[in-house]
Amino acid sequence: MICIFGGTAAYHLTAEDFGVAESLLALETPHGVAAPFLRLRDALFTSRHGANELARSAAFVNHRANLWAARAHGASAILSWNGVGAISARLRVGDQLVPHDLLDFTRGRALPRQALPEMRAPFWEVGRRVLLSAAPRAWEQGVYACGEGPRLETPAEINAFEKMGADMVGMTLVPEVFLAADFGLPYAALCIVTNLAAGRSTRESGRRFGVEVGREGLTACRRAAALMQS
Amino acid sequence: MIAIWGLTAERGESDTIETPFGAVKFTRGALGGWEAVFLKRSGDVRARVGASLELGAQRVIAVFTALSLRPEKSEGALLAPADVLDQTRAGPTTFFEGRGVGYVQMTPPFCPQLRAALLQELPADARVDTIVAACPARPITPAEARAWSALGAHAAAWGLAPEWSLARELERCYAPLLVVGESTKAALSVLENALMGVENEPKCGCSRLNPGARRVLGDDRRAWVRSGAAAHGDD
Repeated sequence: MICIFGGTAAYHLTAEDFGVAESLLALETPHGVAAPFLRLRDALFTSRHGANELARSAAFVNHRANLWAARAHGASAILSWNGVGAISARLRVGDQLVPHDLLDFTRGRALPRQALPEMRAPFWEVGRRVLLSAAPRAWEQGVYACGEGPRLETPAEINAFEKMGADMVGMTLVPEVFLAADFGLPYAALCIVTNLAAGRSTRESGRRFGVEVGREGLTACRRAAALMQS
Repeated sequence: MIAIWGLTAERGESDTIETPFGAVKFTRGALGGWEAVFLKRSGDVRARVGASLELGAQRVIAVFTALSLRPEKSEGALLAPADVLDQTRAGPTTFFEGRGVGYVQMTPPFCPQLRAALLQELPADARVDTIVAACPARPITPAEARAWSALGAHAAAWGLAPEWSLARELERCYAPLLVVGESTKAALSVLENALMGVENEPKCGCSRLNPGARRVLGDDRRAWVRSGAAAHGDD
């Protein structure tokens, strides 16, 4: 069973967006209280930042509890969506990307302990391919820079991230993708460009943080979950 | 009222103010025709930011000694940067622990009006783009200095982060003034003149930087600080 982790605008979604859904109680886990989950027809679902409002910014999401709960509810893999700011000049607001790599600029987030130094692509390749089938207009690759927040990045930071190879910036995928691996849950993500990053946006470039972002993310992830089952 | 951080008043009256993050010592004085409060960089950074708010200072000038990353900037050179690369790893990042607010825009990161007033009193080469907010607990390594310079930075200062972003969360006008070397003495006369050119009425957007906090916690920014201290205490 796929579990969908909803990011930007997941908290704007309503019962109509989910269709048939069973509410699962927020579990007490060894890592604290997890978010409430929904059992949808084709997947499990939870909203990282809050069920009905943007209740917590990225640094305050209890990824560990959520992953523990996802597994307890029967998840075998995670697909997520994330709002990102575009760094790469090829990207426009509304574009989608399935990231293949990331750069970590967070500070002091709860990461798993590693036994040995190792270099490994952080995202699940099968999940990436299925997300790309489910979201055919998404860019096939992208490097995600994870900032600490909650403040937004400075233009100087965005320029530095770009020089280091980042295409987009967000605040959530670290530590989630690494903790998922620790829980034995393969993980792939769909990134949706909500705005251009600091120093790149103009009055014309636009911003998109409304419910439509959540609907796009949910639709793509559910379609991918269905493809996995078929 | 204007707050000066990192500079000692030539004369003034010492006082203490309580904040939800602890008591803060400060000196009341005057500078460039402004009533000013002078605060040292010691104790909890949120207490100092909260104290400056409580004392009624919309504007903060943050004075630093700095390390130049470029050979052309020598001891005593003054810099008023436009942008910052935060390379710190510790310290509180926000007053809004556990909440869904604090997505403060950093374009620009510093108050444009205060920076313009500083630049009026500084030579043209003080107009640098980027500085590094470095970790105050250790020296900068030569390799870091080269890397940061390659990323566009001109100088590094200790203590700029997180005080700067916390001040921005409380919608303060904040502008750094850096003096290359070990003494901030050269800053005083520049500040005196620059502040005379600052109009009383802000013309920047700094006081509307955090609409999310206003929506969730109301208009009283002192309540934002109290709520931050309460959330912090819950840990």
